[in-house]
Amino acid sequence: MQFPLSFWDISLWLAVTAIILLTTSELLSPYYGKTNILIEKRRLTAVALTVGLLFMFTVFIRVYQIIVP
Amino acid sequence: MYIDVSDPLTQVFILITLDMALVIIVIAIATLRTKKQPSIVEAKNYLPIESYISAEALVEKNKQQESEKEALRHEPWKHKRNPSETVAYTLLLLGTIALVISILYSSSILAFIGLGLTLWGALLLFIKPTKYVKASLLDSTVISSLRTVDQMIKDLDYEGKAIYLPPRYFKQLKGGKVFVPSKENSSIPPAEEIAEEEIFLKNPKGICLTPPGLGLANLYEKELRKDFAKVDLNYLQNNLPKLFIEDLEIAENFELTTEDNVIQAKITGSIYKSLCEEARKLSRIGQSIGCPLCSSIAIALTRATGSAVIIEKIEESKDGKTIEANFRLLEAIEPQAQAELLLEEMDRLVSMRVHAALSNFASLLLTGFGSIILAWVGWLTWYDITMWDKDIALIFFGSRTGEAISLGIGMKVIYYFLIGLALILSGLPTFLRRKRSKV
Repeated sequence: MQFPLSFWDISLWLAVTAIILLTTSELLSPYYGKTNILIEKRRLTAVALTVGLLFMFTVFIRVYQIIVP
Repeated sequence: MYIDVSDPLTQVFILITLDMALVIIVIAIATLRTKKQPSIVEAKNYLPIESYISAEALVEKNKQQESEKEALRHEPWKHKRNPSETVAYTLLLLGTIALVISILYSSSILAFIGLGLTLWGALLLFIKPTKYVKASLLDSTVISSLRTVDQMIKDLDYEGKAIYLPPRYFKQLKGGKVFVPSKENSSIPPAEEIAEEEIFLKNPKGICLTPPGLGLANLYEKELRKDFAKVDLNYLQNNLPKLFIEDLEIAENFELTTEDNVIQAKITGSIYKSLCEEARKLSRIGQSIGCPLCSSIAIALTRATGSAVIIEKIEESKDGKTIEANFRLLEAIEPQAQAELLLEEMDRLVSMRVHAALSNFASLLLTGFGSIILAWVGWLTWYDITMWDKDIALIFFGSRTGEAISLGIGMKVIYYFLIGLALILSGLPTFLRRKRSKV
């Protein structure tokens, strides 16, 4: 009994989620006139950036593994 | 139909579909919630404005408004339990169940579903609004006070244009006063008279009030973490639009332009639209003291320029979406004091520029060196791969003893790579941060 996803599966999931969250946060930005949606847009952006950074961290690990045999 | 889950493309497709579905759910909930409370964006129940009412009637009306305000205060509690919270907890629960089942049955699809549901459930809880109030509630609370001030000035028969006084007149840093003279073209009262903190002034005759936008102006300072008395007009021009549009979401667009002593503010799609409309109907408030929004801009201008400010005119566009307010700076600063202020400002600017230039130069130098080293490492790697067919690990970690790049101390390519990376990482963020703060 173990978690079925490998590290790389999680990395892929993080990438897809980060792209969707970043796009959503940009589309909901007040600069596009979407001021009537009642959510904390700053928090959404913060979450999107965090998920993006997590993905970059997994990429960094991958690059490290390629360099170090 | 058989789906090959191990195929990365299929995995990406499944992930995108799942996440898109969840995004649509979240947006739909947010939009539905907005539609359910239309008064949040559209202020209703405007209070009628009478041209003149007796004192008894005013007291009676005030009592009535107080009771209305009390009733409205309990209104937000009705919306406290919103469906988004229920949906968020449901998503969290379903996600957790999916994750547990995925572990039990070793199903990667269920694991993806579980992760997605858990993330979006948590996200929905995290991004839900907590501090929104109905616009009608806001308007109803403020308009009574504005009407009282208007009635008072009207009864006193003071006809002068309201003058926003600069911060040097007050003891408190966050203070602000607006002086309404009894006659037009009246002079600005001396600082000593203002310092006594009396409402009715005798020389020149007039009334000294706390402006309706003082709280808002202090909120701007709090949000920008800057004291407006220590910044200049350029700072306001660069930062107020972002504050209005992005941070506080007061307006859809905001522009501040200057021409000689006149500063024009153009506000589009303001949430204070209805309140400003109501305020403009009040004869003494409308074109003199201004609505809370225009008043707050006037206070910000007095603080940043150190000069007294009057609101020349406030105009509304035909579609009622855009408000244009003109502010005039009064030359209240004495020439000597002004010269001293200018010299101080120049000193500060020169030292700031020197500091910024040095800092920029240092960060550019670091970034430049880092880029050169990394480019060289890249070229070396490419050369070793194409010419000598070496693998990447050997290029980076292989010994270079006897070669020039070893420098006689056993330097390897990986060391150069790390040095280049460190130089870029230390230089680039500083440079970008400075550039961003400049913008």
